[in-house]
Amino acid sequence: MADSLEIVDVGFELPGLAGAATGASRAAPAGSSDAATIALSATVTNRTAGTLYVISDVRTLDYDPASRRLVVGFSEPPGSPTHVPRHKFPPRIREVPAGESAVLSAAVPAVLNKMRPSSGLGMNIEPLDVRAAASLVVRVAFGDAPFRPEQAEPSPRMLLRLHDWARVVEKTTTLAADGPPPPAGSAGGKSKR
Amino acid sequence: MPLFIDTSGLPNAVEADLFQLCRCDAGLGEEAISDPTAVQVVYTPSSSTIVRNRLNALVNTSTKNIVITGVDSSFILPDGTPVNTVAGETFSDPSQPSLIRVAYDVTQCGGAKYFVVGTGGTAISFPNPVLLYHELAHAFHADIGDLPADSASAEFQAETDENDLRDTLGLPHRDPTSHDGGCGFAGSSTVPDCTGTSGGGTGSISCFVASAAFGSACAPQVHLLRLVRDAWRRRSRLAGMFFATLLHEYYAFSPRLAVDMAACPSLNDMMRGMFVEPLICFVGLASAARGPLRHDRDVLERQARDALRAYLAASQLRHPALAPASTSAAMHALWLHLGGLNGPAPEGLRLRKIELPVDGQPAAVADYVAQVITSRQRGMECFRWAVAGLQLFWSRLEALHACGPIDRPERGGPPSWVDALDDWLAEVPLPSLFPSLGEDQLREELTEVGRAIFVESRVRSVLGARLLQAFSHQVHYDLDHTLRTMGWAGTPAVSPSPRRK
Repeated sequence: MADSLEIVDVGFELPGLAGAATGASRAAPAGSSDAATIALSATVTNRTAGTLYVISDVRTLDYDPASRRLVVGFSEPPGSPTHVPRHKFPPRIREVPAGESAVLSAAVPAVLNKMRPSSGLGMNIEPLDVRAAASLVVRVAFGDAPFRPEQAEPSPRMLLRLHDWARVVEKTTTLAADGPPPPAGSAGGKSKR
Repeated sequence: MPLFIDTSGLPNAVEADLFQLCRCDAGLGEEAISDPTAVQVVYTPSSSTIVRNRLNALVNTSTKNIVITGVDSSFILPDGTPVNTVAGETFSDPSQPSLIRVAYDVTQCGGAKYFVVGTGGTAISFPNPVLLYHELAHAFHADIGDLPADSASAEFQAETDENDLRDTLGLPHRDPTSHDGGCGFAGSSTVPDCTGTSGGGTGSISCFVASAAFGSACAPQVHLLRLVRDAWRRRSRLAGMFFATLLHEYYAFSPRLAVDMAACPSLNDMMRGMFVEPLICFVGLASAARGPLRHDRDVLERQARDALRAYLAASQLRHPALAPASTSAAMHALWLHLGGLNGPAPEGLRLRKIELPVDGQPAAVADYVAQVITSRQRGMECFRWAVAGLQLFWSRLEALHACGPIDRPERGGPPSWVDALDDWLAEVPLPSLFPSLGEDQLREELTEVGRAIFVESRVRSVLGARLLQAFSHQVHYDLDHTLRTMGWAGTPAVSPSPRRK
């Protein structure tokens, strides 16, 4: 992919703590260091003649249990927003010089907890075990100039500017033909898929 | 209309943060409601401050339902925004527009800690009580109808309100014109504590009850308990797993106990005498039994008897109401009660006002503790095991008290302390995360805990059999073989755990 940023490789390492398994992220003590996470890395290469500026923190996480599709975005959620956060922190930006590569990494919770419609006072929180993912979509947003938040800039305006600033590339990786990943311990506690 | 805590999230952390931001005002409480997914916050301020007045308004005069949900960093908003990119969010529920929801990450970005920008332009901490108060400021203004439509002005408004709490806590002011921030704060993220504990509201877990009993989180006795805990968490992954579960159970109810203890000196005195001082003595004796003299049973028995007798004499002076027989019976009752809490979680927390014990009797105090624990959560396996240790301690005091000042060999003397300790150790709850250890890790762990804690082969045999029964089908190596080659399998020869005669 000439004249752009290219995602050349995606790494996806399952947690060593498979025993932390189902529902543990909510049941575990808050902040527990034993909470299971997936180590994700995306290697990007700048195929342009100039420096590119890449978002280096995860801004979107989503999982569809029906299609078993996990989306990890170093970019804002796509489409028109269903909910604009009141105060989203500005993104972290990483510089990638022309022709060079950089590795973006993230710890993705093995079980995401997503808010669903609720009829009660309490939230309806749906646990989504992303270790069963069959495909992984990684999106990376980048621009030709650094993105900087403005003084006292409201979150909606910053997100709008981000939308205008960013170009987004994505790469889809097939993780498994079927079934959940093997439990940790079967391959030295970690499986690279 | 009221303020609620969502029980589907992490309600105990929310409760602790509310206590911190109102500076442990004993007028704060909760009531069960018909909706099992939430509990209602009740509040009668004991004095007037800006922060307490704000909380009072939210609880007692707001016109909309406001529900607080404590979440961890795995929480994502409906559009896929991870909570750690916002720290917290206040919004109208799309499915119930009249409801104002406040969700915030009580884990401080999974432990990485949030920062925001101070008036000096540098990164400052954003502790949980401050984060919660910031979100509640949005909820308050949304409720009274003066929330600016322009979100920059709304942020300026909430950050200005937030600085009221920062004033109260002595924390640096936030720059209300900067909305920068994120994960990764290098400094401390604690707030000055009001329960006598440290680390309030940061997701860290403290010795709430011990700190309240001794009036300070810095008391040497509290420091000792913290040292033991931290040493084992660092030393062994298995011990770390155990402590994580134990502290999770303990944290569910201990802030409430600490606040009640602060409000009621007689309760404080009884809790100290029944639980905290015996625990410290018990930890000391258990540590000695695993020290250099661990193979000299006669010396250990004599040392333990002398230490227990000295403790008994001192305790009878300090806490004359704590007769060993009645305290031992009360501990047994509490232990039995906790055994009934291992079923499924109740439908919502049954939080309610609990009458403080006023008669100063051990049974009443144990019953009060049981009620507080029951109102918080189910599943108290690790804490129950710790109570079994205290039960063992008090039963030995009871036996010594009955023996009088001189041992009577013709009556067989007091029962063996070392054997009883081993029996207790053999019943330690097994960490549910055990299968996550690979075989090599397990070997290292068994070597470590076998050398330092489970030194008797009969205890290792019992534990080995329990591990095999619980986990042999959950690991991908031959657990039986591993245990046998490590000396953790054999014929168990240990009696059941301490039971009241």
